[in-house]
Amino acid sequence: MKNFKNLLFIALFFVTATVLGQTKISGIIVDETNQPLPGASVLEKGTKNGTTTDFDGNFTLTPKSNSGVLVVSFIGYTRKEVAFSSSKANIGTIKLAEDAGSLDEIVVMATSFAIDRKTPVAVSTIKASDIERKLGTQEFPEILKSTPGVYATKSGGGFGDGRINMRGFNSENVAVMINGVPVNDMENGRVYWSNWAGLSDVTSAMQVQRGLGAAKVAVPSIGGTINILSKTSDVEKGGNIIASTGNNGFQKYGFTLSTGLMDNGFASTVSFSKTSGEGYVDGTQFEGYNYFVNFSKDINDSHKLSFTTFGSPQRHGQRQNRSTIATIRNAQSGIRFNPDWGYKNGQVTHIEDNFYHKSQTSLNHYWTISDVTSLSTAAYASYGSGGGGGTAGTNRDLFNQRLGGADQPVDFDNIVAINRANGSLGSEAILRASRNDHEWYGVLSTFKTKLNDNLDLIAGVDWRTYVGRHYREVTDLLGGDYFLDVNSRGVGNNVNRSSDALQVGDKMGYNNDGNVGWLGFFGQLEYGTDDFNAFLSTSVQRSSYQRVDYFQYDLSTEAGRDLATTDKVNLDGYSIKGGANYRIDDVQNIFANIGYFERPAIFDAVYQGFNNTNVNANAENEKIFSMELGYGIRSEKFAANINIYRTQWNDRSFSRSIPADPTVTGSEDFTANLLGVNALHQGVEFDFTYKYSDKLNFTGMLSLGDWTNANDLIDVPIFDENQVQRGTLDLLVDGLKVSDAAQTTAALGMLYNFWDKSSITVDYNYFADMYAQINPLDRADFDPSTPSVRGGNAWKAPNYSTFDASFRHGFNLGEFDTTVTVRVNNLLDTEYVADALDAADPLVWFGFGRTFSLDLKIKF
Amino acid sequence: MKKIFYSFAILSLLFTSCNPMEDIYAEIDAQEVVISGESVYTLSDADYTALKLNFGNFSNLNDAKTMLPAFLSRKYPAWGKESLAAVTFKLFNKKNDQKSLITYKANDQDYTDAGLRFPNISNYEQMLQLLNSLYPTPDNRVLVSLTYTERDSGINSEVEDGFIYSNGTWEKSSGITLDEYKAMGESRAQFSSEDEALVKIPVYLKNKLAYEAPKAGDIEGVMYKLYDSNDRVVKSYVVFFIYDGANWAKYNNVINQTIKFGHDGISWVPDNTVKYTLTNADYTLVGNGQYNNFDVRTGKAEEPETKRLEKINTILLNNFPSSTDGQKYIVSYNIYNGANDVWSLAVIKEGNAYVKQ
Repeated sequence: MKNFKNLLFIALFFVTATVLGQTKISGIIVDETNQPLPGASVLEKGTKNGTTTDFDGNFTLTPKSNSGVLVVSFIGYTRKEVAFSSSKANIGTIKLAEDAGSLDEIVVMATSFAIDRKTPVAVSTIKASDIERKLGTQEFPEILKSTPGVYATKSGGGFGDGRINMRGFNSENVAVMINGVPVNDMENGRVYWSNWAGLSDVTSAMQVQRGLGAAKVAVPSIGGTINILSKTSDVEKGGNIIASTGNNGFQKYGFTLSTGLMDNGFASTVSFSKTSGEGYVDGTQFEGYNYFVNFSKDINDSHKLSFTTFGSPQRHGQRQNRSTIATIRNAQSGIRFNPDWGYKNGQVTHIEDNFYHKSQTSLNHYWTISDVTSLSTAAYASYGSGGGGGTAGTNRDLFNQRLGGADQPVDFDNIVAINRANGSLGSEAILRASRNDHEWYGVLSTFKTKLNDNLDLIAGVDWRTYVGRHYREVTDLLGGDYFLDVNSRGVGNNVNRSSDALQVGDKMGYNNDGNVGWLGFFGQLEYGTDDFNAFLSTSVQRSSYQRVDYFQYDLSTEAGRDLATTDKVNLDGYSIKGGANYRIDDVQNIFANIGYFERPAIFDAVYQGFNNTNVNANAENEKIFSMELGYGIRSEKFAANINIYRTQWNDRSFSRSIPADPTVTGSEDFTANLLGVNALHQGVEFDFTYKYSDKLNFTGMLSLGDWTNANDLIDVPIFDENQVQRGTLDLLVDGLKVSDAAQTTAALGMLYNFWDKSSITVDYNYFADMYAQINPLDRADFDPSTPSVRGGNAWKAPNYSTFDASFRHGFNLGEFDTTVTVRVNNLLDTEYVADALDAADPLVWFGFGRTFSLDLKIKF
Repeated sequence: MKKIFYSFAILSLLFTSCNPMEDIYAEIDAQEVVISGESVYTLSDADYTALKLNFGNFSNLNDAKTMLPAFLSRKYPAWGKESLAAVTFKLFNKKNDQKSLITYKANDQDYTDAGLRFPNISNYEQMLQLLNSLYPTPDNRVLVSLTYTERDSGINSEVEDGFIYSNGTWEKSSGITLDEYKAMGESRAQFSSEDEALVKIPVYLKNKLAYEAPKAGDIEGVMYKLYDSNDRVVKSYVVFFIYDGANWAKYNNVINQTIKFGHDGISWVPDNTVKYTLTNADYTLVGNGQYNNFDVRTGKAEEPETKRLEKINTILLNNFPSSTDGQKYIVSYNIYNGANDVWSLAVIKEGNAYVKQ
């Protein structure tokens, strides 16, 4: 090996010496549909001499030798090697085939990226170019709306407030991993997309694995896994500037600068942008910044280090509260109506807003130990700071006093006048923020070795420690002298302070920490032959929860200090899954996977009473059992996937505080953990791409879900710790449709290259069978004296469809490669209910009407 | 190629030719937006003119009840169901003064003739007995200036009051004693002119009735005396005064009357409904003090309306213990159903409980 390298080095030396001032090698790189691939990397094999393609897929490279081999690669595509020589300076068209396996193998291993026709899971991969082309001003999860099983909305419509639901499961049950690191909230499992508002700019590839997925670490992949890979550092020196404008004052400016891969093996990319706008919805003004810094260093052939830090500090007005359709219909602003904002002293003032900055920093070490063994380690730290605004006070009805009718903005000046008149009695209505800061450190290490030609072993450790700091703070006294922070019984909320009269910035309401620890181990065996792949994977994990309260317990006493910090509650989970894929021929493949995992209850299920005395240390695990079958076709013009799945979600977390029985001496309050609430999510998913011609390309999908609650609980006795029956429970929900996501979705897309450098896309999306959000557990009846009644399904929102279109044109501005993109979402300005909450008169958020954006990108 | 475009277009049309919200919007648009207002209004002079009431008042209560609904509909054309209006208007309510005068002093035989055991009067029934005995067939609107013995708290005193026979009954007007005339600067029990009487009597009434807590709208008849220089006799006259809450003024035969109307969705009808919005204290009273609202989400405490009615019962019974049967309330309360909103419930008191209207 070493000899060979030396030889190569000597050879190179000679070649370099003789061919200085060479002719340039040029060519064009396209995908299987003959679409140019901008940003593909072209490297002269054995050197650090490389370039990337321009918008039209063109590249030119001055090689260091007269003849040799070019390595052409692009994330998500099979790497290709093409010979060149001075006599063949124009290489012509190089076609790359789509394949996630083209990623650096060690990266694929560390991030659990699925490989087409090999990994036996249902997967959709979104190319960075599609994100750049189609996302525009949409919420990041919305880029996935044309993939099967996905329902993504903007929720209230604030910047970054989008949500995603997969196969009928909400974000608590959808794992999100960025560069292989799980990022679901450590306490409640949710994903806050506003934390990642700038991520789309620096995403190099995004993969949706539906169902169990390919993740080796323990993640809540009940609905699926969203796997996002950020950029690392570009090979080529240069950069770009971007400028965008759009509806409602949307503006975005940014730049990316890269040093390129330098001779010492060092490369760095820095990206920065600013986004601001008024928001489509009234009172949702926003301003955000995105930063991304990556340093990579190839220390030698076996060690590579990569340091990445990114974040998106932002502040945006929110629409927290939904309204009835009639309210919206009759409102002056129509579907833009937002009840949660007003004017104070002539300025827009948000009642509900969100401000947050979460930084994610990681140091990745890739170590190729030998030809058969590698180790990937990510050490990461994440700091979150921010929260959400809202109201407080004894007279919050003042926030209903509007500048006119009920559809008009809130009259803050009226509140200020009332609070001022109160003088030394203090404010009766104020603005506050609920803060949720955190510090999170983790190490994720994955080891892989080839046991023999067909068998690989992967094993790893996943360690995390997390502190979440929760408190409220006074943010605006609205004209009053102070705010009296007492509960409804007139008792101060913090027993450890001398005065309950608070000023702006003082902590109010509650103040506690959630300490979460996590230790997981995982292992996987992978078997592969020419036409067959299989894996068997297992993981175990222990979560530990501890609550520290700074308000409720007297910290000046020993007993109070003891109470203020709870004992650790340890909860264990595990998973086992396996799957196999068989390539019948060059065109067809079939796969199957099956898995079972037990997931511990979330933090809030353990500390339900929001205190340290009512601790539910015996919270039950949720059990998930999932099976899936898939079939795929990859022919020259037509590619398609069809898969069926069945996911059982058993013993859904369900606990209830049962008050003490006053007729029994010694009876105490206790928390009953109730088992047997099950849901069944099953369905069929189909997606295809069809290349009609070099110029015309179609994509489409159809997803049919049947997601229901699976059983009733009738007359179930509830026993306390002493095995004394303390009540009975009825829960009649068998067959009740799972809510909050469209069970039927379909999409059809068209891409047409009408000129050389110009193309349009039209995308059609259809959403049906969306039931308004309900919690089936709310139908529990603990009262044996009345007969339990089976409620009907939640309100069903009208089915709807939307059209999106984009136009893209590339040209040279002087010597700079320039791209203009125009996008229109909801072309026909269709009004539709995207989110609904079940009620006698359902409360809804409408999706946006027609929106547009215009981007300019200049590469240099 | 063309085929594909066509099928794409047809498919698109299939799904998009209908507006997803069409049916729901049609239903909403068909619903009238009801504006429900509340007004306390006093008719102005211009209003009487508009109502073609040339005397600037209603001649009887029934007229007011029949004419005011139409008036309110014109005044508040946008208001609909659950609107309330308390209308104050002038009502003609004539107090008859005398057409003829009899001055008489009752003797002991008169009391005996009237069937009274004692020669004095201790209550109004006895007064009527005496008058009816003295004047079995009185002329209409005759004023009897009667001097008689009044017994009050065991003490007899001689007083002179006026009694006008009007509409088949005797109406009393208090006389003025010599001491009272003296207090008003007169040397005899008489005024020197009507003008003087009209200036001094209101002051006299204010002092005389100061401790009897008169209410605005109280009407008091007073009999005073003038020397008639033509007939060379002292004659009695009755004049009526009305209290406006602070002072007495000569009564011009018009009183202020208030009727409460409610809008039933079609027109205004007399209605005693009171609109009431629950306060924080009310929520606390029924154990909802933490959020000061009713939680109407599925499975939550106040989801059934019966639960809300129960709590509203507790609150109304506590706050308005003296409300009578048939009293109606429209109670507005805060709810949480995923968002904050204000709902209302119309109730009526029946027995000792409020039931939904």
